Amino acid sequence: MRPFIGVGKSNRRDPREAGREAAGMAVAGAPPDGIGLVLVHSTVGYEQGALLDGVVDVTGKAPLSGCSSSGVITRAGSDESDHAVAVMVMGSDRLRFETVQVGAFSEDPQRCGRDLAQRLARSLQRTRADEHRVLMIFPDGTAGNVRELLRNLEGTLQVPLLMAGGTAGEMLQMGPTYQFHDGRVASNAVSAVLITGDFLPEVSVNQCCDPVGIEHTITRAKDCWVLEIDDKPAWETYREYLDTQDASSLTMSDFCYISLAERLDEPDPEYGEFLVRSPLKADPATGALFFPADIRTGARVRVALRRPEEVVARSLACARNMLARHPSRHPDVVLQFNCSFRAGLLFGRHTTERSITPLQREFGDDVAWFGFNSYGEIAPLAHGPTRIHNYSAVLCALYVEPGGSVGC
Amino acid sequence: MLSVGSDGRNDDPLRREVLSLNEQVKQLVRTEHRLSLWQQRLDGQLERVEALNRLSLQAGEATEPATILVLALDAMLALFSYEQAIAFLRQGEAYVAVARRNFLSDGDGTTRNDPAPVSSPPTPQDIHEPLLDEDAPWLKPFHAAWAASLLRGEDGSGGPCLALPVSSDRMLALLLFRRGQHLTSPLEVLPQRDDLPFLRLFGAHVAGALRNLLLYREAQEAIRFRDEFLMLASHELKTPLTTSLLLFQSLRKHDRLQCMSAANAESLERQILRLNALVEQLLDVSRIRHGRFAPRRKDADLVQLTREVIWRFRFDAEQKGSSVSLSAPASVVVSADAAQIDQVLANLLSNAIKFGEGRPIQVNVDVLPERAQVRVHDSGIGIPAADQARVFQCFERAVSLKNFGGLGLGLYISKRIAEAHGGGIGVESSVESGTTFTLWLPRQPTICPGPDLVH
Repeated sequence: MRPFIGVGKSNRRDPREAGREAAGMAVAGAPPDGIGLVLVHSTVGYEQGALLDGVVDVTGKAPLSGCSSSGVITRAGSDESDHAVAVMVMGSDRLRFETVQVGAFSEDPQRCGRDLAQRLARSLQRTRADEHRVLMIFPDGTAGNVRELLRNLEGTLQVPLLMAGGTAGEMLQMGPTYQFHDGRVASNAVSAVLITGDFLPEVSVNQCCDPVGIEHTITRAKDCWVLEIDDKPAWETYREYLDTQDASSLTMSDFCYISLAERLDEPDPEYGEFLVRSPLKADPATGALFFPADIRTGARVRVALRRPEEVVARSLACARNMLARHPSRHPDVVLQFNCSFRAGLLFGRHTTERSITPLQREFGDDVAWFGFNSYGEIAPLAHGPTRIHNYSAVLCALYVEPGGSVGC
Repeated sequence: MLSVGSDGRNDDPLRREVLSLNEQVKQLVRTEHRLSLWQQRLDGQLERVEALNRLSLQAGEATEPATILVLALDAMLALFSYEQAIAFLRQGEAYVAVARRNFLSDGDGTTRNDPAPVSSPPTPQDIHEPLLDEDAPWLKPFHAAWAASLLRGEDGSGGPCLALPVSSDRMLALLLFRRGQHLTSPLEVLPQRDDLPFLRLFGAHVAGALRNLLLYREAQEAIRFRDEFLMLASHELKTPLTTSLLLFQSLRKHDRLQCMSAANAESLERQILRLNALVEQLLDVSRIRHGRFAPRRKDADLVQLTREVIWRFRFDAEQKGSSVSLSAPASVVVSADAAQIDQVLANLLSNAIKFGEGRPIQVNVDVLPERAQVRVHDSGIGIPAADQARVFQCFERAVSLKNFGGLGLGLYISKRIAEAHGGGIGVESSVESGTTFTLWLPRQPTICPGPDLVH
C-alpha cells in the first residue's frame, strides 16, 4: 500500500463540526482502512472533548494523539485564532504506530518518563535493526518538569529513540492545556506516539536568541520555579532588563521579550552554545518565575534577547542541512513544532509569510506540512540527550516513500 | 565570563567596570523593549491606516451604498475579532439591513445578503458616537435575539458588542458587531475605549464614502441633465430659426423682400417671438440661479391678470379645441409683481392647453383666509405620480420631447416665482384623468429674503 498522508484544517465555531471538517479534509482520498495514525492540534476556543468526538466521527478507531496549542500550523501557515483545529492522518504498510498517554505529570514527571518508556518497550523491542523509530511527544506545557520527564524516559529506554515534539499550550493565558489520546482528552498528562518501520526520520532544531550582558547565577530553584537569581527574587533581576516595574502586570508580551540562556556543556555547531529558557509566568508574591524546562540551582545563565531577523535565517539553514543529508530523497511530510513566542507575539499577523512560507518553500510545495505553536519544543541536539527548548523551531521530516514524496 | 557571584562582592576594579558596562547593557535592553512595544503599537496603527486606505480605495469603486457597507464590515472584521456583523442603511426614515457577516453559523463568514437575523436596529434613536456594549444597555436584548437566531445553544448574554454609527449631519447607517464568546487569544483584538477615536475616524470614512457616492450620483445626474438640455435647446432653438431662415431665403431668392406678404411677416414674427420666449426662459433661469429675480411688488388684481392671460391664449385654446372657463370673484388684490404672475399663469394655462387633449379647461380664482389661489384644471393626459415632484425641476418634463416641445423650464421658473412671492405651486394629477395646478399667493405682503430666490 502506498503511504498516505493527509492534512485538514477547520475554523468552524462548533467544535464537533470543526473536528469533522478538519478530519474529513485530512482523510479525503485515503484508501479504505488506510489510516494508521491521527494527529490533532487545536486552539482552546473549543470544547476539546466535542472537538475530538468530531474527529473520531470521521477517523473511527485509528490511533489518535496530539494536544492543544496557541496555534496550529499547516501548509496555509500559522493560525492563532481562538478556533482553529488541524488534523493529519498517516497510513502506510511500511509504518507502525503506537499511541500512549501517562497522567499526573506535574506530581511525578520522573515516574511519567519511566512509565512511558516501559509502555513503549515491547514495540521498541519488536523493531528490526534496519528499521527506524521516532517518538512524537506532547507533554502538558504548563504543569510538569519536562526536563525530568525526558531524562527519565531516555534513561529507562533500552534502545536509542529519536524524539521530537512540543509541549501543549493554550492561548497564552496560562490556563489548562489538553493532551489527546485515542479520542480522549486529558490535562496534566503526556501524550505520545511511537512511529516505527521502514522510513527515515530527520529531526533538527534551531533557536533565535542571543545572550547579552554578564552571567547570573541561579541561587535558588525548585522544580520549574526559579526563586532567586544572584540572591535576589528572580523577578528583580528580570525586571532590570524590562521596561516594566510590576510583576503582576506582566503579560506574555513582556515574558517573550527576554529569556535566559543556559550554556551547553558541549556547543552544538548548528544550534549554538546556549539553551534558551523562557518563563511563562511570575508569582508576584514571591518574585519567582516559572520555566517549563527547569533551571537548576547553581546554573549560570545570561539574559537572552530574541532576534526576529534570525528566525527565518536559522530555520532555513537548518532545513538546508536536513535536506543535504539526503540529497536524493524528498520528505513526505514535515512536522513543525514552533515556539509560541516566535509566532504572532513576534510577527503579529505576518507570522506565516515571514517565518513559515520561506521554510515550506525550501522543502518544496508538494510536502505535507503539519504542526503547532508550543510552550516548549522537544528535540535532541547533535550530541547528547533529548532536550526541551524555548524560542526554537523543531523540524521533523519523515521520508516514507523510498523514491520520493507522496504529497498531499 | 565575569558574573555576579552569590556573595555579591564587587570590590575588584575590573569587576566594577564590567558591572558598569552591564548597567549600560540593561539600559539598552530596556530601551529596546520600550521601542519594541512602540513598534507593536505603530504596526497596529499602520495596519489601521492601511485598512482605512484600502476601504477608501475600494469604496471609490462602489456604485451602491450596500457595497460600501459590506466593505466597511469586512475592513472592521479584518482589524477586530468580531464574529457577527450587520449593516443597516438609512432609507428615508427607516433602516434596512443591507449587509451581514457571520462567522458563527457557516464557518467562513462569506455569506452575503442573507436575510438578517434582526431586521431593524436595536434603538429607535440615532447615535452619534461609537458605543461599546457597556455604554449601550439597549444592545443586551439585541445580543440575545442575535445569538438565539444564529447559534444553537449559545449563551444569549454573549460576548462583546459594538455599535458604530456612520454619521454625517445625521446617521446614514449603523454598523453592529458582535462576538459570541469572550476572547482567549491575545492575538485576537477587540476595540477598547482607547480605540474610540479610531472608530470615529472609521465611521467618518464610511460616511465620506457614502457621501461621495451620493455626490457622484448627483454629478452623473447633472451631466445627464446638461446633455438632455443641450439636445433639447438645440432642437427648440433650431426649429424657429430654420423656419425663419427658409422663409427669408425664399423671399430673397425671388427678390421679394420688399413686398413680403402679411402672412409671411406674421409667420416670421411668430418664429422670432418663439425664439425670444425660449431665450427669455433661459435668461430667467440664469437670473434665478444668480439671485437676480426679485419680484417688484405692487397691488395687482389676480382676477384681472387671469382674465388677460385667458384672453391672450384664446386662439391657442381654440386651435386645440379646448374651451377655457373662468370662475372667479370680481376682484382679488394681492401684492405681487404683475409681470411675473402673468408669466406663471401663462405657463400654467399654456400647459393645460398643450396637454389637455382638446378637452375643456377650468380656471378658478379663490380667496381663502390666508391666501389667494388660482387653480388651472385640464382633463388631459395627466402626470404619473412618480413624476409629479420632478416636473418642477430644471429641464424636467413628464412627457417625451418628441411629442411635446419646450425646454422643460416653465414650471421650474413658475415655482421659483411663486416662492419668491412667499407662495407656491402644487400639482394634483392622475394619468388620463387630468391635472390641476394650483398657484397660491399670500394675501398679506410677504418679505422674502434674496437668497430664497437662488434655487
